[in-house]
Amino acid sequence: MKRSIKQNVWQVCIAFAAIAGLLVLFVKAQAVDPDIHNQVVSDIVELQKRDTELGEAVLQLHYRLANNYDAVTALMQRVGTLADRIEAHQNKGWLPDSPEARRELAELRVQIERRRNWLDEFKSGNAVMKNSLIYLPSMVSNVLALLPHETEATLEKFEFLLRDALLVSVKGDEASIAQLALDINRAEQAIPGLPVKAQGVAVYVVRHAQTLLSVDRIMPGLLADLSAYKGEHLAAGLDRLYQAHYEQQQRTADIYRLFLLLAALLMLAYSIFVYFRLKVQRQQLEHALAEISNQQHALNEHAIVSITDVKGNITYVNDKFIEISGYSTDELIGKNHRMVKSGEHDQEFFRDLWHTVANGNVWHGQVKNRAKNGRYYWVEATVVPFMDQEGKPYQYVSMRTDITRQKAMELQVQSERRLLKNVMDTLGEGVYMLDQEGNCTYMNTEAEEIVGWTIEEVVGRNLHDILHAQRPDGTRVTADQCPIRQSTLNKKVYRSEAEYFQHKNGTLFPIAIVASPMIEGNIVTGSVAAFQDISERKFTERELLRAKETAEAASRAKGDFLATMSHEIRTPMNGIIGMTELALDTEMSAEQREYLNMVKSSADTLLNIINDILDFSKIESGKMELELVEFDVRNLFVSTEKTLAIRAAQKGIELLYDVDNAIPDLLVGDPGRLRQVLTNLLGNAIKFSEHGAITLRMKLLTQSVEGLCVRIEVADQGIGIPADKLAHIFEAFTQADTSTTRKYGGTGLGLAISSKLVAAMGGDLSVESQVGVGSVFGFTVTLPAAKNQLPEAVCDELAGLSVLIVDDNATNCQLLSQQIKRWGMRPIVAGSATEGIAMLREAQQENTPFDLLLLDAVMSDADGFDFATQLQSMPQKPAALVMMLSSASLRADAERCRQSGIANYLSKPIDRWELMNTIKAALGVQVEDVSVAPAQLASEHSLNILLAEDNRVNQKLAITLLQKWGHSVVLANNGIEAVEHAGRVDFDVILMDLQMPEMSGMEATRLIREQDQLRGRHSRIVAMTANAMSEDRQRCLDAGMDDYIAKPLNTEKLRALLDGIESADVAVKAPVYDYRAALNTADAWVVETIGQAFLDDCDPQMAAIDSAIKSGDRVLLMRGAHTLRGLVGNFNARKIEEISAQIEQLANVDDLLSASGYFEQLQVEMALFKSSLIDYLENK
Amino acid sequence: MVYLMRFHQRFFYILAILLLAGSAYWYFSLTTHVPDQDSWRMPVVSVDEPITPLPLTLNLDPNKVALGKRLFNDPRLSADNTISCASCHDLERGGVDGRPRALGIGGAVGGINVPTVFNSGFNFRQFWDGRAASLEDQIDGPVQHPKEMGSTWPKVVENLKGDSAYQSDFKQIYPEGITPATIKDAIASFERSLYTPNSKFDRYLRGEKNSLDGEEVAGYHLFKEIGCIACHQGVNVGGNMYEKIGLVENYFEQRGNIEQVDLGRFNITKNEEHRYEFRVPSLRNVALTAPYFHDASAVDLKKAVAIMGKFQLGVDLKPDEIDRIVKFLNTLTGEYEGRSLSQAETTGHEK
Repeated sequence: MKRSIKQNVWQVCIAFAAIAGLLVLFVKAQAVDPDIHNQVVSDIVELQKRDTELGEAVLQLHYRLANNYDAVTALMQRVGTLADRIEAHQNKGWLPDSPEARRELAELRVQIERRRNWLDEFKSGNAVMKNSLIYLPSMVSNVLALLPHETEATLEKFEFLLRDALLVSVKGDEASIAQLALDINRAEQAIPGLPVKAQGVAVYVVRHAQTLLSVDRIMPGLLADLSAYKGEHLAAGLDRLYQAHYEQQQRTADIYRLFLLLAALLMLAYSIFVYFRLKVQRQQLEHALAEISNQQHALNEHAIVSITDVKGNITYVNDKFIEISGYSTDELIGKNHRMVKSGEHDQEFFRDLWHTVANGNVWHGQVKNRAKNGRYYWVEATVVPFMDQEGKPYQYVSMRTDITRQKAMELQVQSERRLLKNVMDTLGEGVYMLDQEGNCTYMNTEAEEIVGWTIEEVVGRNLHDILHAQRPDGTRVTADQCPIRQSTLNKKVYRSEAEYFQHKNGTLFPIAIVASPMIEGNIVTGSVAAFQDISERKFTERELLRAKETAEAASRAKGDFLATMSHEIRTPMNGIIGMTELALDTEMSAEQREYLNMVKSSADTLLNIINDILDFSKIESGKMELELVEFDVRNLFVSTEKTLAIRAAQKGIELLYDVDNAIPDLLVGDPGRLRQVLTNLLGNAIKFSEHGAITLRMKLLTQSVEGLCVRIEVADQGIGIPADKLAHIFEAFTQADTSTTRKYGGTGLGLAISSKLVAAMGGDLSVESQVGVGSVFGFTVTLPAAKNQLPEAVCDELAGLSVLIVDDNATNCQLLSQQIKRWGMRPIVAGSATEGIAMLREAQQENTPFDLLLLDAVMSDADGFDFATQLQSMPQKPAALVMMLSSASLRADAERCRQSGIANYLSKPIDRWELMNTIKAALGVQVEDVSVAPAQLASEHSLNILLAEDNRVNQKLAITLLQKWGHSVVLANNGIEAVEHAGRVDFDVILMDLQMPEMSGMEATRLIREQDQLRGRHSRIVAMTANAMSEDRQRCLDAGMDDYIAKPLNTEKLRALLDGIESADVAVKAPVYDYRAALNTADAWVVETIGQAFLDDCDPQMAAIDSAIKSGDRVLLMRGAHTLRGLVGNFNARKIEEISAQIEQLANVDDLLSASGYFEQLQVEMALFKSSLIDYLENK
Repeated sequence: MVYLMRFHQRFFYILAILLLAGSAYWYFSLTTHVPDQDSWRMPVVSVDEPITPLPLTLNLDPNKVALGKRLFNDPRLSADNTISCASCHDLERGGVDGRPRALGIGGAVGGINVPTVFNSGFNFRQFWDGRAASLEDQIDGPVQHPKEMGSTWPKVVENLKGDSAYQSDFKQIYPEGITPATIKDAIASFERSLYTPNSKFDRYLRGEKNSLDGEEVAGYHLFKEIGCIACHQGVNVGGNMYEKIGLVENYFEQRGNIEQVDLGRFNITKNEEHRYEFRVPSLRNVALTAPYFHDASAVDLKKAVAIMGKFQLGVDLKPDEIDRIVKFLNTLTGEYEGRSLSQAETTGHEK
């Protein structure tokens, strides 16, 4: 401010000086105004002119050339006026004010005055003179007339008077005037002597003459003056002076004008310069203005702007202000700003605001305002005072942004925070929050109670150090080591129930804690954790654990008991049943046979019961696992039915099966357990039916990625189950009726087991039943289809052949028909014999005979065999006939078939493979023998079997069976013997019982495997065990066993197993060491040198080792083996080296038994080596 | 853009513009300015007759004349607002008051016979003793004379300034407003407008020989013969020279009772030669301006002519000669505003 005032004063001074200077120049540059100059000059010139004219006019007057005095008077006046004007010019300064000039002028005035006076004199004198000259002659003549008598002298006086008067008027010189004066005197003197009449006139004459004379006296002087007039020269002098003055003035004026011109040019140049600079400045300003305008626009777009004067009255509002306040511009301008006051803020608030801005400071704050419609809004406001030159505010500019939303959110956040705090306080769990360093920022009241510290005591301090620094074992844990901290720092949630916190009083207590990191962006800003004091829970847990362990122990004990019992029970059962079967195979009396059959059936029943109970226990203890193997579902059904077929046929019940065509042949599941369930269900169905048919059905429900969802049902036409009993039917040990048990027998566990088995498969066994009508037991499971299905059996030869099916069982007809169709043949169904006959006749008539006839043996309206006989008599009978026999009377019917000449027959339920083959056979098509005839017992090969079994009965049983089958058996009573034998001889298969004294099967297996490794072979070890639990099986496999067979021994299974084993001589041998190759690598010279010697010495060496073993001479054995080792080393026969080394080692530890085993191998190897060496030496 | 400049920049900028403007004006003023010309022409000098006719028109500023007329008739020029110029120089009475002596404020009697205002512009000096060189200078006399208007110029100016009409009128004509100079200028302009052309004699001089009858012509010839024409000549039939009264015989000796005023020009110049010398009065409209001479000693023209003849020419005029001359003198009455002054005289109020 001050600087600008100083600047201003400075600038103003310069300006004034410049103005003054310029004015001075300008004024000085004024040449004499040309008008003035002209005026002065013209006046002077005119003065001269008029003066000259005046002189001329006077002369004219004098010489009587003018009539009146107007001209001279006017000229005189003009000259006087001009002189006055020139004097006025002098006074105005138009004439130089020098003493010379002043003198000239004064002189001029004087001259002019003199002229004027002279003229006046002249005019008056002239008039008189003129008149007198007119009068004098007449008067004189009058006088003379009146003087007739007077003397000549007297007359002459008057005549001379007249003459001289005239002369004077003409000449006007001194002489004339003097003469006239004389004349007048003489005349005057003469008057008294004149007559009285003439005296009066004479007096007049004299008077006139005197008047004339008086005038004449002056005239010469006047005329002299006239000639002496110098006015012309005077005016000229003035003129000269003036001209000189004027020229000088012009010159001065010229100089000033020049300066002025220069100054003007300078200023012009400066102005031009300024102009161009201004242009630039203007552009800059415009640009800045545009920028500011844009900024203002941008500001206006964002901010709510208002401007007030110092009193707070609004002078300007922008659009945003109008928008948010709801008022219009008119309503706002001029009003005080407090019109938007909301009442939220107190007086103090506004006082502070005004105080701040009034002092020239910027005020920031949040203000709540009220809009026109009553709505409240919050703004973040900045009020800026604008100061004037004196540093006092003259207006206030407010810029605001609408923060109503933020404020609302703030309030909401605050209320939410309060809510959160309430929640946290009510949680019942301790909650704390830490910052990045692990310092506590918050703890809820529950936490305070748990740890004993108050929030004030811990806030800001490292919580770990306070609570978590010590482990129960006394070790200290630093914050960096704290797992909670580490986890949260790694952005992971930490859950634990193993941590301990320290109470304020020092005691440690276990806590369950969940700690989460608080992440913002990608940085961990802290953590929040919830924890509970779990001392009580831990205690409870420990108790529970103990209880669990106890229970587990009990369960294990139970399991072990079961396993043991299972084995203990089954073993004697095995013996009973096996022996009984063997006995039945021998010759005996009918009575004996009867008794033994009863024994066998009792034993079978008992075994079933035991199996059921054990199964049930197994299932109850959850120790059952399902297999996942591929199985042919249709085959399963048929075989299951076949086992029960006889029982069903005995009761006159048909067994049917129906598998949905869409279901593929091979499914994956546990066929054993399925069979168990189906057997149970079918068995029940047979048990509780008196007539009708029992159908085993599998329907495809849906197909998915997991597998085929199928429904398996067993439907019977039996007695049914009353509704009230349905619910309990699957419970253990219950039957529909206690009487049922008596009538039908059974353990009551079957359905319970089946139900559990089905549940294990993922299904749910259910039943629908109507008393007197029948029951349907069903369950739904999902079984995956096997990856590789059996190829569809399509027989081209069968395609298109017509088949007549005659069977009274509609279901059977349908099943057959479907299957026939699948094979590409054309089935026709006849539901009875009568119908069949009719169809045959029809065919015959039409000359389209059937290619094949499938005939049921037992029909309601006819006997099948009779039908067949009838057929014989028919012309054009079907080419082939297949008789379908029921299982009940299979033997007898089979006999009848043979007698009737019916070559091809099947027993129901019909296996489709059987059907296919039988049809082919009937039609004469080559039959592949896919299935193995069950009746065959003769084995194709004989195996070398080692039997490790401690039980005498089982020993006997097994040996008998095996030998019956043509195998050779070596017996080991325990594991040790088994190992011994296995070490000495290579058996095709070792049947290893697991439960043996001295050494268990497992241990023996382990040792045998070790031997195997040394000997480079692999013994096939099959476990025999009463432990049917799958983990036992697995344990066997883990122990190194190859297979597993359950006890009591299933003959067929055993048979199958053995059949699968090839005899030793066709078994794949272990890789043989190539001694020839080894010899090639040895030093040829050495080999040649000592080869033959070795060969010669070889046998005695071996014999020595043998005798050493037999005599038990350890030292000798060692020495022998050592020597041998060295010798064979020359030939690179590594294998022999190793074996020798092993023998040496064994000899060292006095294990001659094992050594002898190795010796046998040695012998074998040596034989091989010898032949190679001989070969080598011969062909070197 | 000017507002963008700093102060000194602005200043120089403006100055430059002013200079440019000033120079332009100056340049143009040089060429287009019309110099103030004072047009003065020599009066027409007629060779034929010593008396020349009055001009028929004069180039006078009508505004000034009108204003002067109002002032001439305005009594506020006097101290007691009773006496105006017209009070003594009554235009209805031939420009005089018809009295031997004027009456001033408060009934004060003046010292001399009022000379006529008509054609006073053609007199070479004003007052009997010729002390005023111009009409403007003459106004100073009566305004300030204690026995005439008895006022002072400040008072007069004040009086006139009190009149808004005078204020505006003066402002219109004179930029300086109401000042003694402008008042005088206006009144003088009016007085110059009081010229009376087209008298019978003027018409005769212009060629209308029928304007005068034989007697009047004879009177004119006699006027010339006996020598009246020696002094009473020019356009105003006198008024352009001084002459002594009592040239041939002593006038005052016979009249007696000599007063200050009788000394004439001597009062001004103190020159003996100028004792009893007066400005020769104009004989135009002389028929209307009785009584005659400075002392109003001649009540009528006959007497005046007789006195003139005796004392100035030394001639005893016969009555018929006097009559003829008087008849001639009557033909010198001119017209004012198109109307003959003689009509005004006769139709004007008799005093």
